[in-house]
Amino acid sequence: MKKNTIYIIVLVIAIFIAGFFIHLFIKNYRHLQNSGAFRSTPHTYRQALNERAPITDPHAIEAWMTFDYVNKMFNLPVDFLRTEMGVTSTKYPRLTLYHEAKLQQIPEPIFLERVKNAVLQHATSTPQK
Amino acid sequence: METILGSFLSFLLLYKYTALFVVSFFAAFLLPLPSSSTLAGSGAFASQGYFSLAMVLFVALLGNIGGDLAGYFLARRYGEEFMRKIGFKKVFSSRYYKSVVDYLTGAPHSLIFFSRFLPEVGPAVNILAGITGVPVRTFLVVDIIGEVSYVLLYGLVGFFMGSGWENNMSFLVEGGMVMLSLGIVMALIQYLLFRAR
Repeated sequence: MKKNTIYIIVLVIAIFIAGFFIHLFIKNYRHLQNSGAFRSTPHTYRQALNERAPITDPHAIEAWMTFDYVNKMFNLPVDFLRTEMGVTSTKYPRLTLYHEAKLQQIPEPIFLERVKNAVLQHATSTPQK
Repeated sequence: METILGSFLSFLLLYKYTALFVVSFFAAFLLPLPSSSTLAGSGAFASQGYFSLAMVLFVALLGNIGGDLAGYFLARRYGEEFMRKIGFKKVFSSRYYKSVVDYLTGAPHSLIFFSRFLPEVGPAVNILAGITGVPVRTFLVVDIIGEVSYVLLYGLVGFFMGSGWENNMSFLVEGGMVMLSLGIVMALIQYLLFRAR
């Protein structure tokens, strides 16, 4: 009986803790919903399932991304970045920006900046559809 | 500098669904890999049109269930023998082990279900379920229900967050904490009912 009482007290504490986390989760969900972090409202989930939203801001490019991914996100011609960045590796475009920076012995932030500039340049020189 | 998560995302972009399967399988089987983040990242890549959402959900489900079953069956076949060899002989003849076995074989559902949402705990639960002899059908049914819920939750959160998923990782962590606390509550209720029997 004494042991059961202890278990019940532990259970009540666990329920309070669970309630606290559920409260935090719902609060954060509402905050994310209001700040537009989700691509949809509860009414447009079905619509969002059929929509695709590639990255549009070149400043979002990161070192872990591959050339293939960057090409597809920004609709670049396959060989555009190869020429612009002087990539000679046969693995292109299945090669990360991080590894190419290492291969060319260029500090990663500088290489990344050059990629972003090249993508920006392409975006401004290509008429938008 | 390349971060650990960055390495996994690169691996995912380079080897696509094979990488997703490998990470899901080994995270569910034994290794402490960031499978939830990888799954949410795959969902985000699907929202950008780089992956197919249906394939992401299917491959992650396959990898997770495969890893769980591998851990469960290996532990069921060799677990006790292995543990005895490495010095846990006394544990298996103790009174407490007997009550753990009785509890797990009698009411393992909540423990198996909720541990699917906690990749750090899941592999240990699979091994425990295998060693204590939780029936195959019970394990399989609860595991599939748990993994379907887990894959849908994390995959779709990544998908609907899209490119901004990396900035809202705390939401996924909170989701894991909710499932952990609910799991503890359910396990305690089941244990009280088990004691009352």
